[in-house]
Amino acid sequence: MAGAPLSMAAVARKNIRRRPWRSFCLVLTVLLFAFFLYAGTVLSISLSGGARSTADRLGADVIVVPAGYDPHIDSIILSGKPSMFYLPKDILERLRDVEGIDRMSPQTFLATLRASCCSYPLQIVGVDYDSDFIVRPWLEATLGRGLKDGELIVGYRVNGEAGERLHFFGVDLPIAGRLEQTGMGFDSTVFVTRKTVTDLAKAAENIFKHPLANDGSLVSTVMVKLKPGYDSVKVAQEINRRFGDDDIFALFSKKFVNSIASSLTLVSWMIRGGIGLVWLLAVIVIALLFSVTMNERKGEIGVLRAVGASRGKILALALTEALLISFYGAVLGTSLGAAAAAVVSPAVSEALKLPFLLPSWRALILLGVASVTVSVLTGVLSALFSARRASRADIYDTLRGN
Amino acid sequence: MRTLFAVVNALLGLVLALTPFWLAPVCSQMAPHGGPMKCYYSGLFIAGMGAVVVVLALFALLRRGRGWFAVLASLVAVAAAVACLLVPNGVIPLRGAGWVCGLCGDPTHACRAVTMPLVRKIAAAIVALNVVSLILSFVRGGR
Repeated sequence: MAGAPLSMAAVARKNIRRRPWRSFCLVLTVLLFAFFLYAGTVLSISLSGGARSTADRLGADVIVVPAGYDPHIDSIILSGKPSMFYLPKDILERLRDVEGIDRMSPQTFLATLRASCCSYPLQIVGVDYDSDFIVRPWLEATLGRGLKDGELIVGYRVNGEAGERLHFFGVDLPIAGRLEQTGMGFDSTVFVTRKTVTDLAKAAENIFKHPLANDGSLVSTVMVKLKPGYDSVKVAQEINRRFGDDDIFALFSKKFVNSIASSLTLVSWMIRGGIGLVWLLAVIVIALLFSVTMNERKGEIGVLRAVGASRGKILALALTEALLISFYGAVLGTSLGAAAAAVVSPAVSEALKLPFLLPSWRALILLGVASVTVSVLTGVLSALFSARRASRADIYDTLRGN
Repeated sequence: MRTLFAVVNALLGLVLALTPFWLAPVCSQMAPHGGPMKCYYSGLFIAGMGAVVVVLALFALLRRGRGWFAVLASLVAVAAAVACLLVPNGVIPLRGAGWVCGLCGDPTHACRAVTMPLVRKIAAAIVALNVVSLILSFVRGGR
């Protein structure tokens, strides 16, 4: 009868198939561990990446908003939730007297309406291109030129490519470019000049009355950059002391980034705790199942030893079984973890209300290789103790099945 | 056991194929420019993937003796089910001349509120079934 040569792997495979239910449980255990390891690590890294991106791009030291609207600015920056609010008209003149301010740049917000099945409310941000220090460097890096009146730049998640046109309030505007992914609300925001935002508000008058249509000088937020050596907390407190009664509120952006960081730390620890728990369970279950398997196979091991198999061969056979089971479970688990990370990432980011930025493809592949390696090592090392004990047992005792 | 897996796979594939236009239809309105909307093309993609799962499951049923085909059918079924989640959500961008796969922007619209929740459940069932089938193929061999 022709058959495959009886190599170590072939014998190990036969042993695995002799106890299908136990082998199934072992593969499933490694699979679950690899799944949680990969998906959890990707989730944790994506949250850290999002927070880093927010901190890097939030170049203002102080953000001035109307009093009571600071949660709205959080929503705009984090999730791009459309909001409209306006500061008193003379805000820039008033802030000029505050000591420590180096540069100021006003921004004007306009929220769009749902127009058709495929359109949904978006945040339009009008930036003052001459004074801007937040969006402009980022736009110029993407666009390679300045932003003209009447054209727009779309965030990563907004539908439409450069050269196509978007329709807002009956006005068609050409898309000049698309921004890179940030993991923040900017991904679902449209940027235009402040003149364009005023023109859009005028066009919107057919649908609803808008204060911006009558007064193009309205400002939603003022981004403030401080002179070197000035403390953003103290300057924000000074602005609040002076103008707090006039519905003006200054928040220092560090506070905002700090609140993200503290939420992130908590979530990261929960993810790490979950991975640690699953790892511990995987080690215990694999070690137990292997121990039971080896105990049950004492007679078989004794026969193998009696016909000349060395202790090393017995050890190698047991470890090959563990390696095959672990490798199969690790590859399946990591693949499922990758699919789950891709599918549930947007929902997780929405649920946690934290910025979210997936790592690059290269990093994801490297993480996958690392996840498979760690899972295989966990499986093999968990089986090592039982394998060593089986290989060291006395031939006479093992043949008697003791 | 292998026959049972193939039959359940074929049934789940059939339900997946019927979901976007019959069981839980995607939005029926036209896009502002007049053509079908992104969710219509996503629906076509999902129906196509469902058909692939059905055809492979039927082939696996006919070729019971060939274990490798059952493994291949399971692998393709998992990939097809995962693609049904990744393509409509834009994680894997799929577009051609004048068409693009995706979902409507508004979470209250049929494609996002009705079709995709059902697709997610069917896709999860296909993935779970075929992962179990793949593990069993490994631990049971030709049996």
